[in-house]
Amino acid sequence: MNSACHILAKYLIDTHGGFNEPGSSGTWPLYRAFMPDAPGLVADIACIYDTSPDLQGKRVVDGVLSKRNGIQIHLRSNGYDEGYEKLSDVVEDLAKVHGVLVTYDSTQYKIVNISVASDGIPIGQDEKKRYHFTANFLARIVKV
Amino acid sequence: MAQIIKISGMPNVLKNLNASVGRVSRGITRGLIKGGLHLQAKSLAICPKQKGALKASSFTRNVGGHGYDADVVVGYTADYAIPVHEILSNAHGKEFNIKHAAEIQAAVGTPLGTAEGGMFLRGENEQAKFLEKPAREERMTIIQIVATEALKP
Repeated sequence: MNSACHILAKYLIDTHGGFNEPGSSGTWPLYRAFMPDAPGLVADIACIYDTSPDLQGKRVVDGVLSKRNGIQIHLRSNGYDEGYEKLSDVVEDLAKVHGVLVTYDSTQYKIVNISVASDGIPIGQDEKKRYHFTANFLARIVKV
Repeated sequence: MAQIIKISGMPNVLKNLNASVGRVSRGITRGLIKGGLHLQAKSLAICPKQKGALKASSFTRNVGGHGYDADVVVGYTADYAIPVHEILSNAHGKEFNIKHAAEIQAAVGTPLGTAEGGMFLRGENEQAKFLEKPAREERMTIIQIVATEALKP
């Protein structure tokens, strides 16, 4: 199975909208696993990470390990309100996800559900005075 | 034919039941605090350390009442605890040691190699998510600690 952060990034770009592939001309590029910082890079960017999963034991029927993948979405924005609103939209949308199919790397996955582990929180400003926000989720994703 | 059954000892039954409820509720409070301290210890083992302020700010505290009203919280009071916990791109632990290997080597014996300078070898397991990760991984152990204390005679 591919990493949950890549599968959810695909969902956020293709279905949720509001994010774009890094390198494209669109706003709010969504990076995976590393938030870059370089001169010339737009301030408003997002990054999605895999975090520690919630292991829930083995399923009785087939012995497969049941787990919920830990996910963090980290936003960086020049404006406090823009960043806050963007992350609130994402949290609201992801909390409603239920049984959504996503195709990533030629494999189809089902996002069974997503629970919000921590709501969007502002975590302060960096040395360039940009605002940072994070939200954490637990996602159950299965290969179809 | 009607029969009359007389039950005796009800006051004793009720007295013992009340005593048991009190014992269990006290045990749950004790278990929650013990479980919180267990989580705090696991968290401290992986929390990033430079000058030690973050580590020193950790706490386990009952912010609720007694018995079933107990509400035990584990956390850190340092103002920078949230960014250190949440920003996953920062290098900590082994990753820090690899990223700054040359600087750490050059800083040995200089002010840069002290806690103030920051260029010293970090604990290999130090990382972001230093509270969330053990909270997930130790959940069953914590439940076991609470249950054990609650059932103690």
